[in-house]
Amino acid sequence: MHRIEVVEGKCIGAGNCVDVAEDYFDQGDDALVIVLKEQVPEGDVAEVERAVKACPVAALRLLGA
Amino acid sequence: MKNLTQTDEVWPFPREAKCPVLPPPRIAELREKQPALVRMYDGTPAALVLDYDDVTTIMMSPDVSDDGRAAGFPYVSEAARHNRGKRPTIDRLDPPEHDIQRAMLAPFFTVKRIKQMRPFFEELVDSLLDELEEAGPTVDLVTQFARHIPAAGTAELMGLPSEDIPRFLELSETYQSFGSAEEIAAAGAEIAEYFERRLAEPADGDDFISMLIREQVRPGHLAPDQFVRTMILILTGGFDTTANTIALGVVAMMDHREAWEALANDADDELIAAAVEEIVRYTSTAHHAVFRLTTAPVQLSTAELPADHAVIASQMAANHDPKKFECPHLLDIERDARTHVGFGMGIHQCLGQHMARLALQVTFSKLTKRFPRLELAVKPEELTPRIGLVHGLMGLPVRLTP
Repeated sequence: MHRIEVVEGKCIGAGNCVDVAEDYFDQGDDALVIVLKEQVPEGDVAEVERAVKACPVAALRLLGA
Repeated sequence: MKNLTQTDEVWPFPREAKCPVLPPPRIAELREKQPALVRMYDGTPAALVLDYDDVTTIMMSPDVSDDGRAAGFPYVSEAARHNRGKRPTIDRLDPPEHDIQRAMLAPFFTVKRIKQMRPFFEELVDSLLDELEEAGPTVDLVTQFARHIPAAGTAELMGLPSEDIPRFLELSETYQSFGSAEEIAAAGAEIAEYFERRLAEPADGDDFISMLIREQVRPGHLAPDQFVRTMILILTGGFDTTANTIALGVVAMMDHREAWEALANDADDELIAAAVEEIVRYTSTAHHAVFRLTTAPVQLSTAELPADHAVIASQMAANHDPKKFECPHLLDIERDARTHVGFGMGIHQCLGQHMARLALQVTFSKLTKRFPRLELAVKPEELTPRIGLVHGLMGLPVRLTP
């Protein structure tokens, strides 16, 4: 299992993570990231990695990847 | 530290007349010598950064400022400099002010909110395609189709009356052109007057403009002049870029016919999301956008930039960097181009990117399926590029059903 971590105070609400991996990320009313599922099974790692890379401000990390 | 390659060339570089879509050939020539020192229109020296990794470094570094009020900040034209004395909007602002203003706007551009606009875009594109079919067989895809899509979408998002769209289109095109400073200022002033009137009117609707006035301007979080200039920014940012990506995307696919045919046959739209990322990468319409000033030395893979140095981080060059995108001059709708910098990177990444994606996905899906045999009615080298902040075409004559 891998785990999603949000780097505190970095998110600008660009929404790329939601666009790439909507099962794992959402945006709140303030547009900022909400992690829907922290744990990422092996089969979804590539998709979540793509979402992490799409973040324009490097606010996301995938630990154990 | 490697010295910058000295050139006396003035940015922006001219494009090759025969090739309306791809970046100017000089960019590929300078790739080996980057960062090269070029000059802005007024002689200001600026480092031209072309490498993908370096371009993203510039866009993400805390040691690089976007505040256009600083001495030595590189401006692309006298008209662009014109706004310098005014209070800046998010496109020319650093944190923390930038972040406060962006946070006011971001809730209107979330993925979820934009997704709700899908039926609007589907209906809009269907009706424009009907009109094209009636007007055909030869039509101008820029004036009769492409420019209306983002304009109507932006108006819908902002809550602007549709009868005002044609005038906004004209004003926006002048505002983004490399016309005279007076002409551009006059266009800006007319748009500004419109939003100043809105400030004086009741703001009780649920639309973007009313909510922004009610929740941010009236309580004093956003100054009235900043509100007005932010509206101009959203309007002009939304209109031109997407329209030109549609036009240039069609030209690119005429040159890569297999992409057009693949989308025409893609009944379940399985290819469209990746195809749009590739089209945004390939066409890179925001070709002159990223101007910055270093506030401390910045280490790039190609050189170290000193503090207080003007920089141009070229999005189109990064999107065509062969180290990042194999055979960048080939439009390959099956490649994963999602890491392109067509919408920028860092805190200034395009606010309207998800609306652009949606508009482009609906447009290319429907256009290819309605007119699978569409072809250019002129040779690509006969197309007239639009000279301005956003790359595009003055017109695009096509035959719908040859």
